[in-house]
Amino acid sequence: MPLSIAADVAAAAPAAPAPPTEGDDANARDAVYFEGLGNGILYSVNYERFLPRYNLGLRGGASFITYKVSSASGSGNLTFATWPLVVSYYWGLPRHKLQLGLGATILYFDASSDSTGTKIEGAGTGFGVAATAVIGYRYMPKNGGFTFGAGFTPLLRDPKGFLAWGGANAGFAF
Amino acid sequence: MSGIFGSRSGWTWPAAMGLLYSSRVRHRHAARVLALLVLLTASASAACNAITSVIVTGADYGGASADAHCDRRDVADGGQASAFCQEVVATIAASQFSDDCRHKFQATTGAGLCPRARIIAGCKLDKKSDDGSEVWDWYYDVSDLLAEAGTDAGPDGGPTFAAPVPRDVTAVAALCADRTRYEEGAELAFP
Repeated sequence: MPLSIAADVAAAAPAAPAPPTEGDDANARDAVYFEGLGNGILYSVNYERFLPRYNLGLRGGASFITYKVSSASGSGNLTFATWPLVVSYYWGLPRHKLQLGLGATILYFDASSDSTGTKIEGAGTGFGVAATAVIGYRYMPKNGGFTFGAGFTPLLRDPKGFLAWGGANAGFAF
Repeated sequence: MSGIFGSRSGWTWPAAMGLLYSSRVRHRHAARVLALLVLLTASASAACNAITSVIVTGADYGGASADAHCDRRDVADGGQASAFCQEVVATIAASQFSDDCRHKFQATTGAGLCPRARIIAGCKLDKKSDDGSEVWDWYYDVSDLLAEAGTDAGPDGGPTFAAPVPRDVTAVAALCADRTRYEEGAELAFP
């Protein structure tokens, strides 16, 4: 009988944050999404694997931009690529999650050359690594489908320092 | 009652007044549409500027910005030398700046800031660049170069250095304040 009362109380309680658990088929395990700005700085295309047992998400992404800066013939393009890698902890309701993430963004920048082939390079040329984080919201569909999120995605990099940054993303969970 | 506006008086709007009223209403509509268009254009422009600013900030953080200079004192054959060097700090368009320097002025370009030796003073341009970069024109004491090359070593026997050739800080300050030279203004600066 006490067991029955406990069950009734539990049923009557308001919906409390219920982290997904192993074997919960209703939660998507994977997501692919596009993020504007964010941890990839200008944009990134991402894959994220969710680990419901631990309320974690492991994300890897990439972005690539090449752009011809000088209109003079013979000049070369600049190249800018990033690879954001973020581990996120998700907390909250089954569909509405607070995302807290930490990770790193690997950056590569190659300066454009002028018409003589000369490259005028700044301090950030070549490969670099920036520490990054996420504090944001993510919508996780119960049975997969459209997913989106937005958040504060600061970066920290030597010698550039701290960059207060943000991003928004949308994609598909499955 | 013989009030002018009272309908009981039998007064009616003259046809011309009707046209005038209609014209006013049309003008009011046109004014509203125009105001809306101006507002939309201003909003789009502000949004575009904000997006550009965000992209430039991101690109700068990614390492895209660099410093470059264009030394107008040192020109290739056929070029007209001037007594200044222009430097642009934290630009994402350094290669474009470099090509412009070489092709438009036949001048010497390179990475980093202008040489500091023999600078009299400079002008920091107030003009806002799209990429957030800052520009200085540094004016030099070129008396040594004139003594060496003469005053008429320019193209076709013209002056070695194109005017103006400031000789002191006061002359540089006057150049900075000259709105025909710096349309959006410039401030006197020292290295």
